[in-house]
This record gives sequence, C-alpha cells and structure tokens, in this order.
Amino acid sequence: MGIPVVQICAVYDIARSIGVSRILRGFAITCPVGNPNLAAEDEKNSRRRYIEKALEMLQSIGKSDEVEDV
Amino acid sequence: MGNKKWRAVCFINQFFGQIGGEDKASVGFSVSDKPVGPAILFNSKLNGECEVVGTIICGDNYFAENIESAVEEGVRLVRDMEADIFFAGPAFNAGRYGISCGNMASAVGKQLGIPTVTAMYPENPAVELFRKDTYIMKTKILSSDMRNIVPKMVDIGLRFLKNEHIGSAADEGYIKRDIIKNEYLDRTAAERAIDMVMKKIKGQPFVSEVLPPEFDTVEPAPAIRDMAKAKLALVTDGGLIPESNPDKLKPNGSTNWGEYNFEELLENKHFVIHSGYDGTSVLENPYRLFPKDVLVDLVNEGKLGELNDNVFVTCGNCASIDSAKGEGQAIAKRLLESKVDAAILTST
Repeated sequence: MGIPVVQICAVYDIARSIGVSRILRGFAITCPVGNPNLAAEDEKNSRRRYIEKALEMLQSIGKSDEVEDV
Repeated sequence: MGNKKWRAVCFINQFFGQIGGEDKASVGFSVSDKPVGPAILFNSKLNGECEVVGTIICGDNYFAENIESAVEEGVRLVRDMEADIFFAGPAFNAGRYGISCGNMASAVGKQLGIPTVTAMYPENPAVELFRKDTYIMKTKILSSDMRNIVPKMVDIGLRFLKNEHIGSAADEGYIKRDIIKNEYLDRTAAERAIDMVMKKIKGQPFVSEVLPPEFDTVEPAPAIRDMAKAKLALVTDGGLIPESNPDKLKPNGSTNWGEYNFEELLENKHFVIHSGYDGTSVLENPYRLFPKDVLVDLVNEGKLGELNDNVFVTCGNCASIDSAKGEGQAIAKRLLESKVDAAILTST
C-alpha cells in the first residue's frame, strides 16, 4: 500500500544502491529541476520536461535498478 | 646507487585542497607535484621507501555530476604520475567526497593494478558501493580524526604494496570486503561449528565467522492509474525552510523534518539549512527545488488531479540511515493522512 515516489537527483548512485525504484536523473546537485543557464521561459520549459517525465514514471511500474533521463 | 622510492599519489577534494568550500565544489581536476593538505601528513608518515609524488584535487560536484568522465580523467592523471600506490580522502561522512574517493580508489585499483586505500565513516553511503573494491579504513564521523586515520591508511597501504599479511576487517579496522581467504587455524571447522551451536543453544554470545548480507528490499509501490485524478505532494531533502526553523532541523546529521505551507514558506523569510551544497541556485528560484510552477500548470490543464498545499522538507546532509528511515516513515504517514497518492522527491 505504498505511495509511488519519483526521486529526482543528480547523484543517483546512492539512490540506486539502496533500491529506489523510480529515479530520474536531475540537472545538477545545486539545481535538481531546472537549468540556471537558461532564460526564465526556457528554464520553465526544461522544468516541465522533467515533471512530465516524472508523472510518466509514476504511471509506470517501478524498476529498482534503473535511472531514467529526461 | 640510490634506492628507488615507491611513488604515492593522493586524491583530495576542493575543500582539503584549500581551493574553497561549497562555492568551489564545481572546480575540475588540478594537480600538484607536491603534497597538498592531507597529502603532507601522508608524506610524513610514509617511511623512507615511499614518497608522495603528486596530489590530485577535484571538486565534489564536478566529480559526482559526471562520474564516468571524471573517473576517466582521474585515472589518466594517476597513470601519468606513474603511481605505485594510491590514497584517496579520507572522506569521513561526506557523501559526495565518498563517491569520488570510492570511484577513484576502485577504478585506479582495477585499471592500473596498484594498491589503493581510502577511508570513510561506516555510514557514508559510498561505503556499500565500494567496500569490495578497495580498503576503506573506518574513520570517526568528524574530520578531526585525520591525525589518527592517516597513519592507519599508510600502514595498511605499505603492507598491501609489499605483499605483507593483512588481517581481517575486524582486526585491522577496515570495512569488510567480502573476500574469503584461506587461513590455518588451531581447530577444525567441525570443532568451531559445534562450539558455536552449543553456545547458541545455551543462549550464550558467539561470533559468526561469515555474516549473511543484510537486505532491506522495498517493493516498488504500484503505479498510478490516472494522474489526472491523483493528488501529488512535493518532498525534498534540500533543506529550504522558514528562517525561524520551527522544527529544529540541523545543517547536518538531521533527525527532524518539517511540513510547511508552500506559499507561506516563500512569502516569509526562508533559508537553506543544508550545509552540504551551495543553496544559491534554489534560493534564487525555489521552483528548482519545489517544481510547483509547472505542477500548478499541469493541474490547470487537467493533467494532474491535485497538488498538496504543503511541502515536506528534511535535510539530507549526512543523515544516518536510521534517522532517514524514521523520517521517511513519518512523512509517509502524513502523506497518507493528507490523502496523497504520489510524491516527487527532489534531492540535492
């Protein structure tokens, strides 16, 4: 009866070794979702791509040894 | 004819390399042909047979964000220095530093075939990833253990180099590597096994010679059928909290977490308590940690059912495994009470 979770993190090795089942590789340690090098509008679009991928992963079976990229 | 000394190379991060703190965590590799920082201590403890011929310094973020290419670059630097032995860290309880030290010690050992030694606090998450590949000496939690641990790293490193006897993990103070070595003992296996069984039956303490691995497998939670009907919550370990810190989170080794109304959190003074990463980026734009702007759009477009008003925040810097588990369970309880169906956890 667990709650499905997508973990968005740049350093995914630790999450993977513990067995987290929905890992999405984040942009950077200091900026998990977004890209500070982009203009505001572009950054929001980039962030949207991450979240749309995360929602897709929440609707799929969790896999413990995989890391998804946006 | 002089004696040729063995060549030791040390690997350290930007902080111990005196380049800077979190603000310099993204610096790439730099090399000195002299001992720098802890390498000076290594050099002073190595006896006349061996000397530090170079120090390799790399930023924690630079390494952790591009591990494959960083390993390639780092191994090449060690190879160019013609190292006979390689020391990484010690990393103590620092997660990213543990990852770079573990990766380097493992790759250098495998690719260059030379002895490698590193050192970490047993709860460092990198321990489990690399304990089989290299000698990870056990340190205390704080870097004040430096003076104590470096001589131990040097001692085991030199014995490794000279093919001298290295005892068990328990005897020598390194993390067990799951290497099985044949040894002669006074008593046969049958005698030792019976001895253990007798103790077990009598309820007396005994020490098992081989321990089974500990698994804590969590079944992945089932997928959401339709996000358009689901309620989602945001959770983070990035430690962005109200200035008053009502839940008393700590900059590292935190055992507490907080639940905050997102609008109120941002409208009032807030800060990043997590001392293990540079919070400038997320303070500039908190959506980088709490991607609420995009989620609100998705709710308005009918692609997501609902977004929980409150966010759940903890501080993921050197949290002990037990604390992290406890916090996770407590947050999950609140999520269930709030009728949340799914979560996104952002980690720095």
